[in-house]
Amino acid sequence: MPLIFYMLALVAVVSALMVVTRPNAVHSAMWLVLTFFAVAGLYILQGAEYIAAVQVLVYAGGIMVLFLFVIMLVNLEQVDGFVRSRMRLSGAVVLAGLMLVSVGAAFRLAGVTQVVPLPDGGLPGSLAGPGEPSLAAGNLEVVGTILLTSYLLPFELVSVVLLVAVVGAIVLARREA
Amino acid sequence: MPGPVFQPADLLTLGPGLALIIGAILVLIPDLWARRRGAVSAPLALLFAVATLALVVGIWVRSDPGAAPTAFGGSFVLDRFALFFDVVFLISAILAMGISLHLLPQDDAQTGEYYALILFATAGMMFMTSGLDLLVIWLGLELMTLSSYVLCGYLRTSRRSSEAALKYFLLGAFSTGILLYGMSLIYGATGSTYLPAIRGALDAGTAGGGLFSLGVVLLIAGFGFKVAAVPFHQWAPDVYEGAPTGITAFISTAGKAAALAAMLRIFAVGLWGSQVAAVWVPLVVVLAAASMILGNVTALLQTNVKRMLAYSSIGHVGYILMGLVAVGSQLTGSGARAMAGRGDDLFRFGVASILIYALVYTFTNVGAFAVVAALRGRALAGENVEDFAGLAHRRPLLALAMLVFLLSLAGIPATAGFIGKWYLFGAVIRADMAWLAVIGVVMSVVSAYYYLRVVVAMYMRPAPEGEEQAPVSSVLTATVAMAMGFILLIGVFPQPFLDLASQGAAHLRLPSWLG
Amino acid sequence: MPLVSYISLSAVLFVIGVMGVLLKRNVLTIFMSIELMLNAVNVALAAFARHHGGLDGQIFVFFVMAVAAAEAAVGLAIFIAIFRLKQTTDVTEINLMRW
Repeated sequence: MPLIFYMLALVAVVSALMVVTRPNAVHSAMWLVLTFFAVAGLYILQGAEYIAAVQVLVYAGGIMVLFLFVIMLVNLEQVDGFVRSRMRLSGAVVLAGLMLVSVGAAFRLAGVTQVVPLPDGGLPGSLAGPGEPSLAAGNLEVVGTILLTSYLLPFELVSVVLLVAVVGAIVLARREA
Repeated sequence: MPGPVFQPADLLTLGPGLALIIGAILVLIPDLWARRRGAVSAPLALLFAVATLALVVGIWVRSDPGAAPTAFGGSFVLDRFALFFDVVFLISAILAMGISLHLLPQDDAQTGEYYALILFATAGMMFMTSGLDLLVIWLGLELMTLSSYVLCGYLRTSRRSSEAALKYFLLGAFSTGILLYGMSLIYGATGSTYLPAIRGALDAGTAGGGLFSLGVVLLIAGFGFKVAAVPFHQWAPDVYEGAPTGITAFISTAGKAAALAAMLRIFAVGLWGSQVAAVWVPLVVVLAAASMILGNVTALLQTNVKRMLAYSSIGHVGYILMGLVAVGSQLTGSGARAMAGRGDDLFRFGVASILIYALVYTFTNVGAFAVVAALRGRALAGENVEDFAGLAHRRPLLALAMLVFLLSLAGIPATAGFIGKWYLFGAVIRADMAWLAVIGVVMSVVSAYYYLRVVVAMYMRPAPEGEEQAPVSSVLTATVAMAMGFILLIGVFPQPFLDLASQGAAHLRLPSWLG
Repeated sequence: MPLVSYISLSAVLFVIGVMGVLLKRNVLTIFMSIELMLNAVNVALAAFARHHGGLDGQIFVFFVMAVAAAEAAVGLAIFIAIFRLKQTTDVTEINLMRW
């Protein structure tokens, strides 16, 4: 297991680095697809088959195709690269270092164990409260049940968000009538 | 989870938000066969917004002050805190629609989608305010921001509008990432996204530690972007300048109020504890002070009135954040000492001052943008200080309205703005942080200078020769009149409004559903 | 694998994404970097969900993905609108971030 994790993590990090360093947007997009697949592998490793499937379908399948369409449409001959501003560069590097150090320090401080595992079935009052099936059961079935019971309100809300996205995309991208 | 997960009655509790969503979908339809686009749908949208406002007021009147109905297993609550903010959002939406009904036909861009998106955004704000679960709050936020991105870029033939949309979108999506990382760390440290459960984990001492604190910091940064507080404000001036004026008015008032309401809900209900407050209160102090200083000083340098109002709105976010500081300082250091043995006084006072300021600022800022919209004509963009020259001679009533709005923004007595600032400054002074109030007062004086520049232009300078005036439609006149009327009303008879705000504040942490 | 490995990986991915947003010139690659940040969030959420033995985190991931799709649709439409007007997707020409 650890070996698979390290391999997937390595693929994810390297391809993520490629995404931000490649000068060509199409190449970046292809590396991003690889990142998405590696992350999907990590989900499977954690027993989250359902979101692994959604990751592949929505991200690698849907979002990336959309990206590639737009790149083909607008961007084929555009040069990409980094902002040529020494201030921005140094600022970003300092920020990045700061964030990594703070995550590390946060773990050191918390000693990880302080992120206490909860009693079986989650906290009382959490949306997937006690009595809900836990991870042990078949993932897809359980997730489906919870989505349409405990998480009904967010589920309906996200449908409205998607409707807005459809309306908005048409409003912005249609040609002049 | 208290009680069964979903009952049909929950839909009633969802009422106002649901009504807006249904209304927005209906508004999309008439354009399919209307002879002129927007001819039916735009007034229809206005009607839905007004009807929802009536519904919200009705719910408030009939609601039981000692209880708050929850729905969907407690992840949604319709208490008076939420209802008060719902009123603010709806007022902002209605006035913004009034501005748009005047402006969009000039750009030949009147369509139903525009008004439907305003309704969707307003519904999103309501879910942000009523959500008791980080997930619901975040989805409401997304509903609001996604609609706003589209609305900003709505004038597709205008470069400024498209660039505003791009800027708003990229920085908005970026800040969403930061916000989500914060939420994920909080979930990781407490095991729940449900605010009362997070509170429970905090009280039980099972949460806390470095990861949790980092989550809180990222949460503040994410919301800092959403309310455009310094140093997360860079997107605001360009977006506010480039967006259609009605949308600028809408997102600079209701959009910020919604983010503040969500912050209040998250920090007062979920993350309420002295350990957490020790993390976020100092950060908010810095954001408040920096926003007040930088926003107002930069506004001095602007010649475009829309841009000036953008920077001034950054300053106003600084004032409002002072209220949040007062709320949080109930738990930390100075405020806790000052209020020892006086219960929840400071908390209620701080929350009430934020509520009243959100209401006041909505009327004032939207009103000012409405005047900017009224000045727009064929030859005149109406956005530069020079365009206001001699307005008092050309359009005395419009100039008078602008005068009232500017005085209220500056916080001159007898206007609503004074009442709002009085309570915010009072809140931080009660919290024993008078120095912050001093910054606020000094910056108010600075702001009076650049507001007065517009007044001087209107009253002291001659009108340019031969300028053709665009006619002002009756709907815009009504918008300006309504905003001005309420500003004077709140300024002269503040007590009823303060009582309402106080009732709203009392509901933010009702013991009955906090358990 | 212990939680700490997943969270560290998520932090690294997140920081790479942030760097991309701050430093890239092309709006499309900036948006890809934002997608990296969201993926980092999701990795953390899934790891926490497993740690807590509940499904809240996984459900959150599902919603993040759904909203990311909505965001992509709107964002890419904005890019197309901008490109029609300016024939460029270079932020330094669009003057995107006047800091």
